[in-house]
Amino acid sequence: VKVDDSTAGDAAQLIHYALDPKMFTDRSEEYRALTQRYRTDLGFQGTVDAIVHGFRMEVVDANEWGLVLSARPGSMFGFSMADWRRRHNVGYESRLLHGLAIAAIAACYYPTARTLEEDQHRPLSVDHVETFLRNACDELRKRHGDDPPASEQPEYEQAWRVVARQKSVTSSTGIRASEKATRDVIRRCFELLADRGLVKKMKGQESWQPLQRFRASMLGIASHYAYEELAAIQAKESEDV
Amino acid sequence: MDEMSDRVDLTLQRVRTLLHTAPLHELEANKAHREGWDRLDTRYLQLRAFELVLEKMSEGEGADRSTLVSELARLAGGMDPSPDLDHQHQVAQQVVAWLLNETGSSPTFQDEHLVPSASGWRRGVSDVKLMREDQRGDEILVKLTPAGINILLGALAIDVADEQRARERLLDEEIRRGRYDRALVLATQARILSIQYEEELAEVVRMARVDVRRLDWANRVAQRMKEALDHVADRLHTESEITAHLLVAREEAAPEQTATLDELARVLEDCTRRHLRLEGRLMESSEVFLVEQEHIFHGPGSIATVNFGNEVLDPLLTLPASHALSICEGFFILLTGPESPQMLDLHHLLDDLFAPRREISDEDPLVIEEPDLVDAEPETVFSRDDIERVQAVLGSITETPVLFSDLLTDARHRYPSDEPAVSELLRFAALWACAPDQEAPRWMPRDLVAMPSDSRLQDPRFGGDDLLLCRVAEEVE
Repeated sequence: VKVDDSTAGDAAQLIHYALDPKMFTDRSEEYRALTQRYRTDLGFQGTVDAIVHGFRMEVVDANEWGLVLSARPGSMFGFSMADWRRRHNVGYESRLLHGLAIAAIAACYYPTARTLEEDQHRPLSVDHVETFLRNACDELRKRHGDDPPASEQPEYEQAWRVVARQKSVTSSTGIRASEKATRDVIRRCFELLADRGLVKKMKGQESWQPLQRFRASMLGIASHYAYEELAAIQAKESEDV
Repeated sequence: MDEMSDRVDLTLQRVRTLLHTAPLHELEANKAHREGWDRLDTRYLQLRAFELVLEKMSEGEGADRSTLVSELARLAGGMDPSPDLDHQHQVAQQVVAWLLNETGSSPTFQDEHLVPSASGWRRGVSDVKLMREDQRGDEILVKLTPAGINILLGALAIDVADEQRARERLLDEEIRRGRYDRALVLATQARILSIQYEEELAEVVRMARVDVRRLDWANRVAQRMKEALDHVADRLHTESEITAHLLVAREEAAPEQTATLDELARVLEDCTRRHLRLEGRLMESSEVFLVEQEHIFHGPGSIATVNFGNEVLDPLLTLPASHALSICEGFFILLTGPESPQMLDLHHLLDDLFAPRREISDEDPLVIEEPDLVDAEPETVFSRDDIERVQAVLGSITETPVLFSDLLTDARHRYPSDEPAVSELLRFAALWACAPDQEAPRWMPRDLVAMPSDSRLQDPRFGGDDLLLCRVAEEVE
């Protein structure tokens, strides 16, 4: 199919809007019209999808409020943990803790496949997520025992042990939030998610509600990726054994 | 026989409608299990929550959850005059969470009842949602479902469309008879019905979107949409007639009646506004459905099958830390969505130059921080002319060291009209010469070096150690 210049321009314009996580169709008549066109004009949809794929991204949802994109690892549009924390002197453990906290928040909002199908916006606080994560670690402690296997190499330590040995809050009275105390880490993750348009902080409360973008990204691609990567690692381990 | 089965069905419908209130009673009946709830009337709290939400839906689109919670907390505080504000707040939060059925294992409230059938009585389940949350732009609003609105209307399963027609006829009649107070009551009810109708259709639209992936829904939904469009067009027509009568009435009305008539006009205007918006949405939705019917939305793997809690998080926690980190990093990128690559501007460049050098952390055996190598050429805020002027100043430096403060004074003297760009750029050049860690911009003399002097920089704008600048001969290999 031959695409004319104006269609290509419109497609690029739509992608430009969609790249802003805080942009919604109620703020721009043009965005609204382009989203509507994406949803109803298959030719246009194909053009937009082709450009999006070329940038190594996916369209994970298209609803009345706009287009939701997700970048694949390796895309120049990808926003990585390194981009997020680049202005901080963060070590390996701290990165792992932040990564696990994000996964724990996702698991807390959407523990089962069924919860992903519902349009719910249940608020969560730092407390909720911390309790959830600590309980998961306690369960694993019961299964795997207290003593870590003798190993000098921290990268072979099981992830839950790294979480379990962190304090909830930092003991020092400094004003700077700690890089590793679990409550500080979880709060920082919520703030990031709010910044990326995935959750919204409730007025006057230390709680966050998930926005549609969160569910759409989980449903569309993120949860499958994590699941498949895990399955691949587990398959490889059983081969090795 | 037909008459009989109609009657039985109607009874069944009434049973089901009655069960819509079951969650309200259930919370009250089980309050003994909740600490500090014995002095509360949860039915009052719940019904008040419905009213507050409907009020907000009348004014706009729905209620903000935190506002709703604080209103209910105040009410709970009145019932139980203990000074524990936290407790009141928790009560309010739990009441709202209960009504949204966030605590239940299924998305709807379910109650069993018996259903008559030709072969005897069998078990059936009533399935209801009373409130839901809806995202409008970046707001999340609490709304009542049609069943929730029904609880407030005190009506057992009415046909909203029929009811709207009937009430509008009455409304028109009351206006023509000059009974404006009664007309206002009817108009307010008409508005509630338009909200209820709007919600009913929103549910059809939502269900259709879920069903599009599973069932053949096309004819059913298309038919429903067409009916809805006709109904809304009919409402708009009737409303414009009523408004015309209202205008006539206003001219003949006694002065004490004008306030009521104005209020009446305002409510009717709101109904019209809602119906116009609904008409727009309906047309848009029909179009989207037609396309989705032919071409099922192809978002990658759009049917969720992953139980993220026990199929992802738990195994993730048992992995060796390095594997867990790499999965977390991939998940992070996919979840947080794309970001447009940042163009380098001088502001950020200076930030980066001034930032303390990142050290490789001792605790971190795996970290390999790659430096961000970026081309510093494009996107400067300086003009060609600024650069040429700074080149001229730098060109005057010889192998004999000069103080940076002298250079600055000189530059300001030579190019007074190009401040502050020239001195800013000069400072940048001096800093680079002092600690070169990236490729130099093309306009910089390659052989320029700078080192700290013993004196402080004497300058109205910049501070710190003064620098000595000079040129060095190229090393010969």
